[in-house]
Amino acid sequence: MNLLNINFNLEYFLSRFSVIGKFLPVTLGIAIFSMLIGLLIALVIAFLLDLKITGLNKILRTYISFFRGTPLMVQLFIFYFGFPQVFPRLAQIPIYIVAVYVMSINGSAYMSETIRASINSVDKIQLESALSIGMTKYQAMKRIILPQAARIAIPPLGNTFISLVQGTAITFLLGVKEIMAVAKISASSTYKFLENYLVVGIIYWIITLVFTNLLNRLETKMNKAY
Amino acid sequence: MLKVKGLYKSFGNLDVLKNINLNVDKGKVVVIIGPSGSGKSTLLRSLNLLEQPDKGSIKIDDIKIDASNISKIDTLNLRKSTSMVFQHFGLFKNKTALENVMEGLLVVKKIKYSEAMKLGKYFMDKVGLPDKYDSYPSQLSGGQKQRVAIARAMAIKPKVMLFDEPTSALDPELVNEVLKVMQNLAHENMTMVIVTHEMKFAEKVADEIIFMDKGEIIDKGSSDYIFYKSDNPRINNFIKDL
Repeated sequence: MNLLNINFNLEYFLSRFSVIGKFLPVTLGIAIFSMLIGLLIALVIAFLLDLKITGLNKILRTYISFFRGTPLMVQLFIFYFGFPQVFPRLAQIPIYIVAVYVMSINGSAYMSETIRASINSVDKIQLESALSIGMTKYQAMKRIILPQAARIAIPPLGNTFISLVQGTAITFLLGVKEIMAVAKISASSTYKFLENYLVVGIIYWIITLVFTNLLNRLETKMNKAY
Repeated sequence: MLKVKGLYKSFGNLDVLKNINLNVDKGKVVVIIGPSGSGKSTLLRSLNLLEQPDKGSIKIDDIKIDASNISKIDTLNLRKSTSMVFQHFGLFKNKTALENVMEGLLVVKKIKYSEAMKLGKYFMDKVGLPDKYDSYPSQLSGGQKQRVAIARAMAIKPKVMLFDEPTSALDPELVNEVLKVMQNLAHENMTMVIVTHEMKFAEKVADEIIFMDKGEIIDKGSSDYIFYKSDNPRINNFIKDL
């Protein structure tokens, strides 16, 4: 492909998909685990905030504010490089685990707000109706409120997941060998920057497209009642 | 069967209910009227403990609630023997009309699914919606929604049904279908407490009318008495302005 003397090796470019793609499970693994653990933490936070305990709320608010108000990269550096300085034993935790727990925490800060807003957006009168016929608050939440809140929460939660997938790109700075890291290493050693980075960009894009498509289908299905 | 004694409720500095005493006999229809902000809705909501009264007692048959000490069990028991129809319907939007009616049967009464379905259909038919079992609330008109809400409230076989301005959020042409369902209930001797602004309807169905103003029961009596014979100036002013 040097006919027009364009410095772009198409063959090499195409071959990189399989090489870089091999590390896709690492990228997806970090993102999926972060999402699941983050969602769990977010649910707990949303539940605790709902108890309206003043002191606890202040702490949780600070937590949310900090992790939403600082870049993911800074958070990763603080946890991976910073904390072991004070607690040396933390240095023994594998980078993958550190990546997952920092990203879980980061995601949880966003998702707890999403969950709270979704629950609040279900009109209160449905809860009262459920109570008025003798249901307990737990039954009402489980059968009436949360299913509706879930439907509202799904698009923003999907966005959080996409952010997490893209956020995994930063973990190569810690030494996690995921798709971005592989692209970076190959690019530096071959000087074929455009080929490598374009491939990795396209892979991220495809993940997002596939996931968005799945999400849209789920939304259509859940919107049946509305 | 329903006895309310010395009920008080305030929101902050505002006394919404002041020493409310009320008796409703089995099978009777009591209609509460009065100006906005007079505490009618709060009284009704207190009977279902959606509002916690500050003082006083509520008794339905053998369930007795004292405001000073309301347990979770008491609350549940009271709510199982009363049911409420709201101004804004409050249908469960994630469930079909029939599922709305079945919900209390399944969850509260613990009735088997097949049996609950049969009962659910019975009550849907009763409010004149045999063709709307599978419709979601978003597919129903206001009047239909309110009738589903009434079916849902009837289904748990309450001892008393509470209606909080059930037609106030409806388009005028849909009011009658709801009132008709309520009238049928009255004919079947359902015990009802109704807050409404539909005076014609009140006059027709009420065994007793209660006039409330500023958190107090000002007067009560037959519709004939309240509408035509009472010489209380507050009542006369209210009725004159309608």
